[in-house]
Amino acid sequence: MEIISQTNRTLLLDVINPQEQDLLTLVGDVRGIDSLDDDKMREINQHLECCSYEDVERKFQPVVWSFFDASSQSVKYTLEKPENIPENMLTPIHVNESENFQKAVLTVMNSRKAQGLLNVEFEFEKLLEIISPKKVMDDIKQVRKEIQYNYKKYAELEEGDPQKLDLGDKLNLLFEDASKNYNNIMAMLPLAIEDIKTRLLLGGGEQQQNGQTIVPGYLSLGEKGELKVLEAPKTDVTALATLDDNVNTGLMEVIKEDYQAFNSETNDYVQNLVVRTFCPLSSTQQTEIDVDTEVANYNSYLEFYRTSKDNFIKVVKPLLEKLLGIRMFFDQYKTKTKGMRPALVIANVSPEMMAKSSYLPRLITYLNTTNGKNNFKDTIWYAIYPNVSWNQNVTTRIQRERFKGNVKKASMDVYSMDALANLLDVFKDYRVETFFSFENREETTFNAIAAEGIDKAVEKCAPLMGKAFSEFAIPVLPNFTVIPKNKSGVVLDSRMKVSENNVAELSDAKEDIMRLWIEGVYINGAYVAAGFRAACQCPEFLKDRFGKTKAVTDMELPGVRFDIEAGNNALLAYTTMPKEITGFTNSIKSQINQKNFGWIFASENASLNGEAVTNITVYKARNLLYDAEHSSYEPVYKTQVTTYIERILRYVTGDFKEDNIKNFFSNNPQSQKSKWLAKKDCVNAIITEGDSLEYTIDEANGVCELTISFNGSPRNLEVLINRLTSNMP
Amino acid sequence: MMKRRHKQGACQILCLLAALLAVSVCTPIRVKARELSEGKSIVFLLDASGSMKSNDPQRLAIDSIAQLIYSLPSDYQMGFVAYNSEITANLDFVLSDQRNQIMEEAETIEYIGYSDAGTGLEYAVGMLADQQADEKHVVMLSDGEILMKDDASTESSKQQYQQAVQQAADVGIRIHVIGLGDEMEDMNNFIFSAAEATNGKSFYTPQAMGIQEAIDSVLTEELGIKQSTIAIIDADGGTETVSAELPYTHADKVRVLLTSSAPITNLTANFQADSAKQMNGSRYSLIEMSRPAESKLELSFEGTAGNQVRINVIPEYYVSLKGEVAYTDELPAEAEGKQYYDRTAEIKYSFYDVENQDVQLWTQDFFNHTKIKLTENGQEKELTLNNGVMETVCPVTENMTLETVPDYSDMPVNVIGDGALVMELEGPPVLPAEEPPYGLIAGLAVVGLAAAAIIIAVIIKSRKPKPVPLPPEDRPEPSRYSYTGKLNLYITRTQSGYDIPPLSFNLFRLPSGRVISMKEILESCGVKEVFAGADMIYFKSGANRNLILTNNSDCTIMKNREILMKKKSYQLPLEAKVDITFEDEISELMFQYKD
Repeated sequence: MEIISQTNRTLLLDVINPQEQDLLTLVGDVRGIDSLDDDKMREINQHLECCSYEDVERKFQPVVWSFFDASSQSVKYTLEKPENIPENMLTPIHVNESENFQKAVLTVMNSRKAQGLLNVEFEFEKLLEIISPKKVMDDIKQVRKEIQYNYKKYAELEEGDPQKLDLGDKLNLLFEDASKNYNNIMAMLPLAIEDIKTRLLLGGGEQQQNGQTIVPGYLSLGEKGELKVLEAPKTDVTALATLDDNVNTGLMEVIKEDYQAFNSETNDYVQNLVVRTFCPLSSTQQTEIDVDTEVANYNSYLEFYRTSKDNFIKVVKPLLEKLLGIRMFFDQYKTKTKGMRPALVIANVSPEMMAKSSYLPRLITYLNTTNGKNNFKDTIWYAIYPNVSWNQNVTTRIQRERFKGNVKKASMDVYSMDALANLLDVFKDYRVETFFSFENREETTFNAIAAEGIDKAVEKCAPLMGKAFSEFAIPVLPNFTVIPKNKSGVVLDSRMKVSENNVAELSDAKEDIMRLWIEGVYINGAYVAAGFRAACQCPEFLKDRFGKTKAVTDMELPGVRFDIEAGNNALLAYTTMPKEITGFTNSIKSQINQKNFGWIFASENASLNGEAVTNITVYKARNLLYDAEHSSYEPVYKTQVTTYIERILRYVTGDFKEDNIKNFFSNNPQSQKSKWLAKKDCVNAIITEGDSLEYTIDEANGVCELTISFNGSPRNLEVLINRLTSNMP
Repeated sequence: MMKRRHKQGACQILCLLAALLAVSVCTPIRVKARELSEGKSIVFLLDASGSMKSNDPQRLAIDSIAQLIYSLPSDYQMGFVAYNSEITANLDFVLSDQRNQIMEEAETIEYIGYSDAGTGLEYAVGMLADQQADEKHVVMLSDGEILMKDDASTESSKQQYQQAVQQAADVGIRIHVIGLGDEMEDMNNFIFSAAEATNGKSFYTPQAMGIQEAIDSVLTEELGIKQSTIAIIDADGGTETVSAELPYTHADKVRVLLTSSAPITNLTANFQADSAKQMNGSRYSLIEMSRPAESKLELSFEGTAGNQVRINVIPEYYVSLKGEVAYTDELPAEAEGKQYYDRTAEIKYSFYDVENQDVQLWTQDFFNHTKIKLTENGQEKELTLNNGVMETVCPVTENMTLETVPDYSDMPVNVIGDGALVMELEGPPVLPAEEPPYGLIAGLAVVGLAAAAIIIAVIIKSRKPKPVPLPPEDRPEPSRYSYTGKLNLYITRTQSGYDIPPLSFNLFRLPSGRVISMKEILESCGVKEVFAGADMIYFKSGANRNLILTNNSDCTIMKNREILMKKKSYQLPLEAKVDITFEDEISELMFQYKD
């Protein structure tokens, strides 16, 4: 691959973090210029090009901003940094792997993949409990255990002991981790909730107390030999407990000091809470408990936690879905040895904005630089346009809302078909194939496609058909379900009440169970389709997948001609997404096959050579160019092969010099065509058995017409011959 | 233009030059702080006594409240009172966007009990009396005389009624009475007297079906509401479809009100607007569009067979008046004893959206030739609107302030204006005291200019032999080559601020001899915006599939970091990208010549 080193660089048309740089800003004013200079391109790549998901997190720092609204007494979240709120009142919540909700969603994805269960079989609710205060506390328990263990060892060692310094380093790290919790009140809430629960119920739940206060005691034998549990005397201090206390007292002081250092306005309640949370073994330290106040606090904390978590999830979900999409884009490329690794250029700007006439010249100038040169390092081959609006007409239907229904999704994160058409019109000139998928909703999932087929989607794509750019539009169906809407309830905890004996207990009443609804998490199919196609460009990837077969993969050729629909290719190369449903019915499949429409994923039971395929496979890989002769849409590979051949031809022939064109197609074994023909049996051959590559030169008009036949179906390409050196008229 | 017969020829030319120069000078305009009117207030007073049950069994009166309140422009504040033996429902004044509260209140009303119109009217008048408003109205709907459980109470209520009428007349509240049913047949009825005493209007309808018509008359005749009926449809029970062109682009609100005497269901509307909402009762439906983007409206609905559905459109504009002044100075015909030029201010009035001051209103054909009255410093004028502009002239003898107060009552739409426009007009300049030897100066200036022009021409010719300059006034000569490819046009900035989608113009369809200007290209793409200088940028076909661009305008045209010179021709190869900044220095466009 000495000429074209990559055929899978992808442009993502979406916003990840509006505070970070974006393509339009970086490209800047393009009046009077044709292309961008190399420095500018380097700067763009530095800011926007990502080769892994970690790169995306590092470069874009996906973040949700939170602030407290005193008027509504609630926490507000927003993806865009509010400009009218002072910096010190804003708290950024970084949406990375340590963020609780993302952690929960990733756990769900990984477990489902590992267990290979369908959506219907999988217990989502259980795993989603990760976001409940109890699970947050579990994590903290682990941290505090390590702190105590290390601090105890640290306290025992003498000053100046080098081992003590090592332990100091470890403790610093652990405190850093712990301090994230007592740095902000929101993170303290689950702690406070669990703390009250622990103190009031003594960690209860396992045993019913029947409304009586538990008094810790010892098991002993009475004077007459009877078995007794004696109340432990408060002053009875054992040597071990004293030792513990010494360690604890020291640790408590350290935590107190740390808390005070972080917070200018300290609060005794929070300070004690932090100390109790991270240093709970203060066996001889007793505090009075005011049950009524504590129960009221617990209930209000829990309500506040539920509301703010609910608000947070509503705001973060669209961002998280994008991030999961990007993660899955990169996740498709799994090989033992890395070769042509897919790269993603994130425009970080709304495609609606980019499609405006005022900004299109910037995109054109950028693409002119990446795709209009004989340097193919930065060439953009694919684009991802996610979240196309499912409802395209502004229609108001007047009717009474008799029951509370779904709140119609605001059009914030949904992009229009019109903007897509405008962008495709530009992409066509630079031969960028665009994967687009519809917005995340129940109607676009596997379930819906299995039930209703693809007719609706075909209808919605109609505005993009029969156009010059149709060839470059690839509709991807369906979207992937990470957490289905009907299984997205999370039980946080139950409200507490005070019993007649003035003892706190958890309420059993149904209305007292605190639950929040995530309302489904989905991944746009376009990310996975683009990621998978990008992965298939890499010969190493194909070699891995076809290793067990006799087929040979040429390590010098990209997978541009790799036809996923051919033979058993789809069963050898498949996505990393686990199956979701039991499959499409035969009638739906015959409808898909009859139409040969779109890039369709399948969740089918299949096996190859006795080995079951448990992942989602690619069932159809078509664009929107309609071939009336065969009454079907064209396979995507034809477009990319044509693009690839044109680019190689331009490069090898020195911008289409006539003599060089003739050499290119000659039978000389060194000619490019001969080289390709020699590899026609490879998995990733450019010209395979049954294909042909012909050319004719129209001397009068100075045009070279290429005819690339894919299994007899021809595709024409016209290039202007460069006659500057000869044949001047 | 003036003439001074007794001066020398050269002197006349110079004076003429000076006068012409003064023509385009404009003074800064100061607009007075916005003086929004106090608005208008109206109270709907409904008789909810038991007798209404028989006179209005279908509760059409409730629907008629909707018809009234949703038809009123946003500067009306609405209140609502219903009475039987006492006040049964009332709602203090609500703003335009809270009118649904009135309907919520009205729908709870039950027709029951006696009829204490005295208390009802007293309450309604009391509400209005405290209100700060330019106009105050009560619309009363009643089906009979005052009737209480005993004669004493009836008499007391009558007295109350008379007192309320008197109070209304005193504070300028007009009461319009709609009488319903047999009892009200006599137009000399006691209830109707309120209308007469307060300069209001009385309406009588024997059946509830007629309330709609009465409300219509109140709206158009008494309140001066501008509405137009776009369709009256005889429903057959099936789906009816209506499509209409509405000329109300940039209107602040356009309300579409469907009324019928039978239920309207399944209303679907297609249009484009910033936002929209809808309200529906059993026999009416309202669609309220905010800032409709385009003029096409498509409606479909199901009416009840055998009934008529009427569709009315009520447009509403928030308007700010702007003025632009240019002066023409002339030497006085009789200069003896005069110290100043004769100055005339040519004033162009135009109308802009209050919220978006860049959007000019009423430029559509629909508004052409509409008369608008205005007073300039107390002097009344009637001007005609032409392409959104009204022109007038005003002699100026000294520095003066011109206050213009528009009167939009003759406009075919509802207008809420933002008050008077105040402009400072500059007095005329002083006539020159002593006249220098103009002949000599003119002669020297002409010789000097000619010499400078020759030198510059020689320098330019010696430096830039190519490309060949074209005669400035000429369109380029047609070419013998065929056109090929197309132009992809991206309008990156417009004077109006509107975004225009990317455009494509097929060149290959043009005959080879055609020379086409950028203006013609933009027009054929349906662009209505004006691009100053576009008519002087020409294209013609060139050899080797090239396109020849000739710029005879003052636009700045850039290609490959180079500014293309004026009145020169340049070859554009395929894929060439060119940026144009038009003569207004605001509008910009980028085009690409593609295969």
